[in-house]
Amino acid sequence: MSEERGGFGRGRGRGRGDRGRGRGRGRREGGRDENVWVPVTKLGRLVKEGKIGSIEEIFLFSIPVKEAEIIDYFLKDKLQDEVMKIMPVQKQSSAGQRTRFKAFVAVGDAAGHIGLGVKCSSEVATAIRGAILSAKLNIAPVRRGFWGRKSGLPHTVPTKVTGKCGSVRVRLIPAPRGTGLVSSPAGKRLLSMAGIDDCYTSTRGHTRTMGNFIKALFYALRNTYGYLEPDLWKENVLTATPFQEHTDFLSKKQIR
Amino acid sequence: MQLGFSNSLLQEVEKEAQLLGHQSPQWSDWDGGKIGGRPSWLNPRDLPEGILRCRGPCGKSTDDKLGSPLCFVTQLYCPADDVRESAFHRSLYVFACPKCCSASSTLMVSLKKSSANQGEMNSTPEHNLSDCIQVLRCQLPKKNDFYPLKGDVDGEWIKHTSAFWAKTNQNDQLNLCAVCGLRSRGKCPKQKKFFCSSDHQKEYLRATKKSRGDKSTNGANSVSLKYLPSLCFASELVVEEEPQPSHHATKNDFAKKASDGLFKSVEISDVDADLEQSDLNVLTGNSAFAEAATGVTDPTTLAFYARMAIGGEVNDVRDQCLRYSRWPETKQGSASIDDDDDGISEGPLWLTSDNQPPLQYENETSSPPFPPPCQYCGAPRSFEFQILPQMLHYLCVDPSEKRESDGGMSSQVLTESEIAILLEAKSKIESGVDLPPGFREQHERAVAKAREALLGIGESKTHSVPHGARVPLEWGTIAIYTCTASCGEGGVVSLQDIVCSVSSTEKERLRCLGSYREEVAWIQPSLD
Repeated sequence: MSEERGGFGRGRGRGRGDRGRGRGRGRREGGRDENVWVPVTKLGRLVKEGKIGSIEEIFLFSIPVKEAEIIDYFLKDKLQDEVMKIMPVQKQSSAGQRTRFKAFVAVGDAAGHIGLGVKCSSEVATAIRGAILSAKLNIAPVRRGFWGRKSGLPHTVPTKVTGKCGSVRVRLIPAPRGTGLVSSPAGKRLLSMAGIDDCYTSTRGHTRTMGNFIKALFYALRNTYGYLEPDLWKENVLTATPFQEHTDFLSKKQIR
Repeated sequence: MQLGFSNSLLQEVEKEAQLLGHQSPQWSDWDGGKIGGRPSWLNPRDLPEGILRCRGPCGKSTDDKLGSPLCFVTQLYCPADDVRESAFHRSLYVFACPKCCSASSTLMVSLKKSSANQGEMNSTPEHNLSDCIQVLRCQLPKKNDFYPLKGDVDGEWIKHTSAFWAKTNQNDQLNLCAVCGLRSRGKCPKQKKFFCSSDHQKEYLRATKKSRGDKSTNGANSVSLKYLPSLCFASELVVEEEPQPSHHATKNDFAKKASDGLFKSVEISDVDADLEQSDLNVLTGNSAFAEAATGVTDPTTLAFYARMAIGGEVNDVRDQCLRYSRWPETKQGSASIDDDDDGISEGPLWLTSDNQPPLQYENETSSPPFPPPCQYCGAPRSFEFQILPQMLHYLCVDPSEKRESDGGMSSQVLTESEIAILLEAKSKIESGVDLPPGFREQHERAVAKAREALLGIGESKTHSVPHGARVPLEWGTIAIYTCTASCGEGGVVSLQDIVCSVSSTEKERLRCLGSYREEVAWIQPSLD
């Protein structure tokens, strides 16, 4: 008699709702959509209700994104992921060496949002899956500087910029429309995710070290921001420098 | 480990929807439980006296020192007749304070702030959020006054309803409040229904007026839940086993990707072996020091998501609301997350590394270990189940309204033009063009204000909830710990039953809960 009862904690062999009232989730009724997302965070609930229009608003308000499905919701099909490197790492234990795999993944749409993820696991597939999740949770907008006003839409870096890290030097050179990305495969993927369509690159140093190469590339991109082009010089409002104020003060004092 | 899912009541036949919880005397059919709505009492006669109130900080600031009335969250049926014969029927009820367990409550905000400070130990704050949750346990032996001995009975059994006992014992108070389902205090002559307080009386009157204009209600005896803001939306709680970790059938894809990595790795000892997620975040400018800190590096959170995705696409369990594992044997505590841990742990699944309960005395001056032993019998307490944040979705969202992706546009906090202005200002600041003085500060202030309005975490002065609006509940996860002896013979609690040394006011408070015994809960604030 007691085996026929339902409730939590009863029956090890409970399948999809065969004890008790025989309710599983209403899958058989056909009224359920497949894989409906139930949000876990407050931001997720706001996104699901439609109160947030685009991913730019999230970056504008600096709201932490703690749920990967939010990114999926906005960037759906545009999001691509790319495995950058899978390397075995070893730990010495008393029973010999334990090898695990560390996966580095970059995800991004081609419109200036990029995320990098890393995960270590004993299986390659698990590591890659975990790294993709981690990358989605750590997505950030690429700081694109002001773009040249000569053409309509931005498509390349505004000036020649270089970034360096370790021994790696990465130089980005503007290119005319239609050139495409002239770079190593890794550089191509990262630049296209950053939203750059045409660029020449030149690199030097031990570019096989992924960490240094990516850092150098991002430093180069960041140098495009805040770089004052000559045609902007005349727009500067000349404010009094601190030294000027200081000498004014001193001269006043002397008069008294 | 068993999982609880929410099953919508809309497709149910009207009659079946009434049989949730313990409303049907046919106890061989009892399964799972209930989410939202009104509680369905296992013991209909020995109910708690009076309204259940919050014992947390919200009561300290009011004039009469009374906490705000609690809101019913969920109940589940979890018999324990292998532990004790008098626990043949056993139900657990969870109530939460709508003022303290919301995003704007000062307690919740301070907990999140303390967890955001890096470099500090797990500092347990003075006010524990656990005071704002009340968990009640009720159990009955197989032979009792309310339910038939044989599981299946047809038709006319009414001994399990409160109305029957109200008439038998001539105790009018046993009639349940029409709004919240607790003991009532009196009958409203105009509406001809029982209510527990004047607040609920007024609320019911307002609700009947509003629903008169609504054609969709089918003239049922009771008012639809969407007009009663102190209640949450109701659905059924069904039980399923947690699936075993699935190994994807798409192994081929990953193998191909593995060999096609953009940076081929040749040597074992690589400079990149030490790169961690936080380093990568610095690269993209996403670290905690950057302006837009949006990332997640907490391994507990990542493990939580991995566990959600355990079924893969075949058996999607991400909409689980509840995780049940009675008194697991494994070592509880924040053990280091081992990446190789494909094995399934049966303890509570925490959301963040911070705000976890202290399991032993850390030093002489720290707070006592959690959970405290049972006040009634002195037996130790152990984890039984936890409520997940997905349940909030089912509690706070009206299932009968069609949900489109842009259906909420009209209720947006900021209009589209305002957002466009802010975005343009941001790009101007970033591009380094010279700006008029004070522009940057002004922009930051406007952004901060909009952010607070959006997330609903503003100051209580500027952000007062309009009368009659639904206060949104929020939590990360609530873990409930119960007495491992499952004490109690099914009768009303008497003062002698309470073994542990507590004050007499505390004993009196516990006695007033009738045959319902109190258990403890630990609440972890939400991820964002």
